Amino acid sequence: MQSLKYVFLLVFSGLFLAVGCTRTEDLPPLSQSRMLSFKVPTADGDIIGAIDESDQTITVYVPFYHQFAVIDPEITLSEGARLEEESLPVDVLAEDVRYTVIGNDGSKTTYRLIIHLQQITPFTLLEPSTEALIAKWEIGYGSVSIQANFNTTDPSIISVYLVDDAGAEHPLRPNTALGSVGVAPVIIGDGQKTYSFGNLRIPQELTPGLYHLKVDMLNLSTTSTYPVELVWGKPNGFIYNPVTVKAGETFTLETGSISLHDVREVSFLVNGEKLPLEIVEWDHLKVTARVPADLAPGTYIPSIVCGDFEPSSPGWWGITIAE
Amino acid sequence: MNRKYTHFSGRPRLLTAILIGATLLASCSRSDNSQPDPEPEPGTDVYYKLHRVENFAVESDDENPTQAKAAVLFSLFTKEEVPSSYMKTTRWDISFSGLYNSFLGGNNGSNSNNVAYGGAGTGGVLILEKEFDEVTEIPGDTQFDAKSGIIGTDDAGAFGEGTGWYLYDFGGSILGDGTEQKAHVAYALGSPLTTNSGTVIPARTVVVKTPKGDYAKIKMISCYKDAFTPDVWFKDTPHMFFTFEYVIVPAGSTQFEIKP
Repeated sequence: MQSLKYVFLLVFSGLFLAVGCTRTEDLPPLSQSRMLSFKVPTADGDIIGAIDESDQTITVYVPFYHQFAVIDPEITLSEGARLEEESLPVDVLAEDVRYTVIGNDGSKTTYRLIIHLQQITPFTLLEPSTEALIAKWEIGYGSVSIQANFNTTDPSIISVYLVDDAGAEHPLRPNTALGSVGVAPVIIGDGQKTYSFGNLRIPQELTPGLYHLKVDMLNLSTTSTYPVELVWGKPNGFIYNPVTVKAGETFTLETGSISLHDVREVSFLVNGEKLPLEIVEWDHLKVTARVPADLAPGTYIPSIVCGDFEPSSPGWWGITIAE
Repeated sequence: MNRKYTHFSGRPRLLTAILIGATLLASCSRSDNSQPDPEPEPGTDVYYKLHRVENFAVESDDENPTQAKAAVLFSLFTKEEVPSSYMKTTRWDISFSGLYNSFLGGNNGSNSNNVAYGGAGTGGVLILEKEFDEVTEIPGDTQFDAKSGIIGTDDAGAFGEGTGWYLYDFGGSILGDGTEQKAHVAYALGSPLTTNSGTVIPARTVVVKTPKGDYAKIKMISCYKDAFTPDVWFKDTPHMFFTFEYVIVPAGSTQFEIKP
């Protein structure tokens, strides 16, 4: 009986050993170049990236409300492993980001990053024009506002373009002369909440015609159904530049807003009388004129006429003619 | 029954236990250790040293003095400007925003008035009416302000907004000689200054909690290019070129120290 028990014990122990050894021998050695975790820290905790060893991918979902233009992941690796290249912040729209992990044993594993940017759709633009009424915008105007369901207050992730007939895109840049450019929530006529992205400038070099409005925000894009019409306007703001010249010399006026066009006249008001000046040259941004050689010293406020518009003038500062 | 128990309490049972234990240990010995040793934080060699940044330039536009430019971000660890696209990351420590980018703020993702809102930063700033060398104790975390653009003009000058790191002499008569060239001068308060009326304005020291919890104290020295003392600050001296000195100590510290 006793010897039977010894046999039983030996068999039992052998079985354990066999099972233990089988598992040890059969498992392939784990890679030493593995990515163990991928997480994006935020104010609300970490966004965890899912690492799939079967196809060496990292999938991360970024909610819209974080308003991230980039993600800056924290990555942990197998013991002793390192990344082939430094991990830098990644544009949330990037599609070709890969991380190569070099293991302690020299092995390499490359992981592909897949970012799913979760944005609210549809992306809806409040159109400036309707089928019945095409909006007219003056070329160079610097305070255009675009309304859409941006769901962000970060202007850096929004791009606005005017698209011409040939399909060329002309960006509307923020007009920083009016202060910081921002996006703010607004309540529109029907009580709905939307967002306004303001103080954009219509490029001063554009020419009159019909343009469609295109708005990009991260991976969303929308284009207006109806175009807007760009038209010439009356220049209404000049860049402050009080200059001092001598009689016979030239000076330059530069528009700070509406583009110049068809410059027909530049003049001073002298003793209540209009004194036309020689127009040396002009383009859509500036006009250069010559002071008459016999003009008496003093300060004169210049005035220009573009097309059929009324005269435009800086109004409160002028050109000083020195002795 | 007793014999049975007696029998199994002897050597064979011990042997069995050892064999089973060894077997289990052997079968587990190939398991992966998924917890790598912590790596040293990058940039830790910057701690406990006096650093100086000279002429850190930001764009200014005297033709539009009342229009603020976009915030500029700076890393105390790399001593470099950080791209604005990294605004919601923890790769920068102080922001320069507001008029002339002259208002300082920290990096805090939990405060909606911080440019890093949404990010993981837990930083902030405060200012003390003490000389840089005298600031040794690190204030409690609750004293740091998490908003952007909160330390700028001092109440001792024009357009003051509390205790600031600089005094704006609008007319040139608070600290200047009243001439046009001494008007609109921004006097950094890294060192004490005495006004024309005899008032001594104590030095200011800015204290920063970085987004990762380290602490820095900063002495703001100048915002003029290659000009580090009040006698060479004039309206037309090129600006904004920030010069400042600082010391960083790691998270958890209670004292600012400089170690050899």
